[in-house]
Amino acid sequence: MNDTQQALWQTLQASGLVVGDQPTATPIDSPWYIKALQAVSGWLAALFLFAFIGFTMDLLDSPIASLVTGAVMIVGAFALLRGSENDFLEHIALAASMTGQLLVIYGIAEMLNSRDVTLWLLVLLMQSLLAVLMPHFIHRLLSAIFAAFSLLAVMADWGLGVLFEGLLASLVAWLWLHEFRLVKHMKAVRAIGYGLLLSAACLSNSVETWDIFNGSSNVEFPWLEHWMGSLLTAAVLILVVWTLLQRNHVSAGNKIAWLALSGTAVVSIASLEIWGLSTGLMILLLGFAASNRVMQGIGIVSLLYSASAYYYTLEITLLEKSQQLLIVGLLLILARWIMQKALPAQPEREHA
Amino acid sequence: MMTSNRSQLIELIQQGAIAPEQIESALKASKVRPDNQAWATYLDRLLLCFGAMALSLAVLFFFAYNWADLGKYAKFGLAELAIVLAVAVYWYQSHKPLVAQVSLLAASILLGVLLALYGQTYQTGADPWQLFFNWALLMLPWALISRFAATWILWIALLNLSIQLYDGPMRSVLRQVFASQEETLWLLFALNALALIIWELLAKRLTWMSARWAPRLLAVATGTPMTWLAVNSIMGRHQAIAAMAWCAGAIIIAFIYQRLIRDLFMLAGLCLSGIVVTISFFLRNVFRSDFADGFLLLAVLIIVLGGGSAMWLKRVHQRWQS
Repeated sequence: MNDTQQALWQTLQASGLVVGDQPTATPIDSPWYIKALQAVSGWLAALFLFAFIGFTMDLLDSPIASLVTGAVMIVGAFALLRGSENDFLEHIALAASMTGQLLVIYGIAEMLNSRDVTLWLLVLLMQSLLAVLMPHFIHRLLSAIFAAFSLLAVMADWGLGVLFEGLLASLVAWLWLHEFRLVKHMKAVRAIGYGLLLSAACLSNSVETWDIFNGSSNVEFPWLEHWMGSLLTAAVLILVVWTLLQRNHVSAGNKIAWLALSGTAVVSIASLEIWGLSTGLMILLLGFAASNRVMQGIGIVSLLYSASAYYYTLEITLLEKSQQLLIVGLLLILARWIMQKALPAQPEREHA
Repeated sequence: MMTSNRSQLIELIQQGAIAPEQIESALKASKVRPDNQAWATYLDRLLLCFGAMALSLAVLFFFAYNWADLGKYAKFGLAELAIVLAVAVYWYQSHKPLVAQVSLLAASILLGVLLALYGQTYQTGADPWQLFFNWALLMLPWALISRFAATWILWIALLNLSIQLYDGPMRSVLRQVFASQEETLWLLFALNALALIIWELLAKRLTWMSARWAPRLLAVATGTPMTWLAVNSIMGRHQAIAAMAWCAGAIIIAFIYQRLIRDLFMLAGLCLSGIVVTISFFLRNVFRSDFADGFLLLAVLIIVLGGGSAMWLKRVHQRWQS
């Protein structure tokens, strides 16, 4: 038992939130970089396993055989992951499942005889199911990332690519706002939450690239514009701010609530053309709201990425971008000044 | 090693020690959910940092546009005015540490804009690496008085950039790291290793250097060229001394970050580097003789190394917990 654990228990005890003796310390969940190491090595092993199968067996000649073998491997991995706490077995299961998925996708692609949106839809379905069902943090996380990627492919194909950022942001927001509500599924919510969070941080700027690459930009919905997608994300951000305000018992009539909401709205509308900014800000706020440092780190990296992607977009000139940034920067400094004036001298009065 | 209230509370909730209806109160009591005071402080910092960042980027984008209608004196005037403004904010707000630090960082970034503008206007014929080197040189006094980790990381990043540009024109980040010449990799390694050592030594005395993100970043910048040197040396493209240096470095890192400074991130990085080096050793010596079966062996090897690393790291983590 270390000191911080004891201190926390005493705090909770003093508030009457726990009774009795402190439970014996179980090992705390391993930090993110150990999980990242496991994810990278599991995925890498799967690639080599797939290459081995491809080179030595005739599996890839028959789509059905490939599909069936893949499915068996996934089910086997599921059984292994459910029963075991051993690191080596977990690694084997992870690699086997990834290889199985590659085989299944290969089989389906061969049977469909095309690379159109049906394949992406099936991948989306498979990855979503795996993210929900597989009883393993890293597996859920990787599946959630692949699911988000296939969702982007499907939406881009349907001409709805601009709405992807907002849709993903709303999923991320919902999951992380319910992190401590869905107690029974806490582990799953966090794993899928991190997967979608990473996808939101990486893919939010890439919709444009995808459109050009696919050549199918806004075919079905010619009236959809990029700013509408950004508006959707901005709306999600405002909703998140509203939820957080309510959580801290700042009511709707309150001056602070009004300032926070209108400030968020003004900043996000001024930055509609800076893709990924609202998402990055939302990640930062959600991270701080739950003392999640990893999440805040992802938020900062995501914002830096969004700024550099903004530099390279071709839709508006650097001069216009410079003007927009100037406005956003001045608005932020102004918001800070207003906040300092508006907050009472003894902020304790606002306490919940 | 400290564990956050957050992860401990999650552990308690998962053990069922806290009743579901009490969770929200427990989150507040343990400060995992920040109170209004904490929110106010956080938002204050957030608005300040992002505001300063957006304004600096606005100036940078403006000069990158290279507006033809604007005369060169007007341009220089604007760039210099921006720097003077940033320094003025530092001067008048020096009693507020964060405002002062952020304004000096902004001034340091704007200094680079001014130097780039100078090169653009007068076509000095200087090599690109000189721009970043001079930038680092000229911002050094500000870095020294700033007592701000981000400013120092910018300074080290500029030196890294100028070493890489000395090697050749800028390419994508990945190619920049992996296609550089041997001397460049050694230089990068030496610079970042020195920075890391100095940082760790000073971090014990200076509180503003105690946050772990900066030395971790430096360790990644040290480990990446070193790992690549070792891989190249195993593959026979570079001298054998790199592989030996890697082994020595690995032992030193393992000792320091287990015994002297407990940092699991560094040990995880060491494991990753070890996996990469072992695989390249295997590729060089086994793979070529037997192609297809080699893939299977490789997969098994990665599983063993990855699983072994995870097991060791978790064991160390657990030992530090108790």
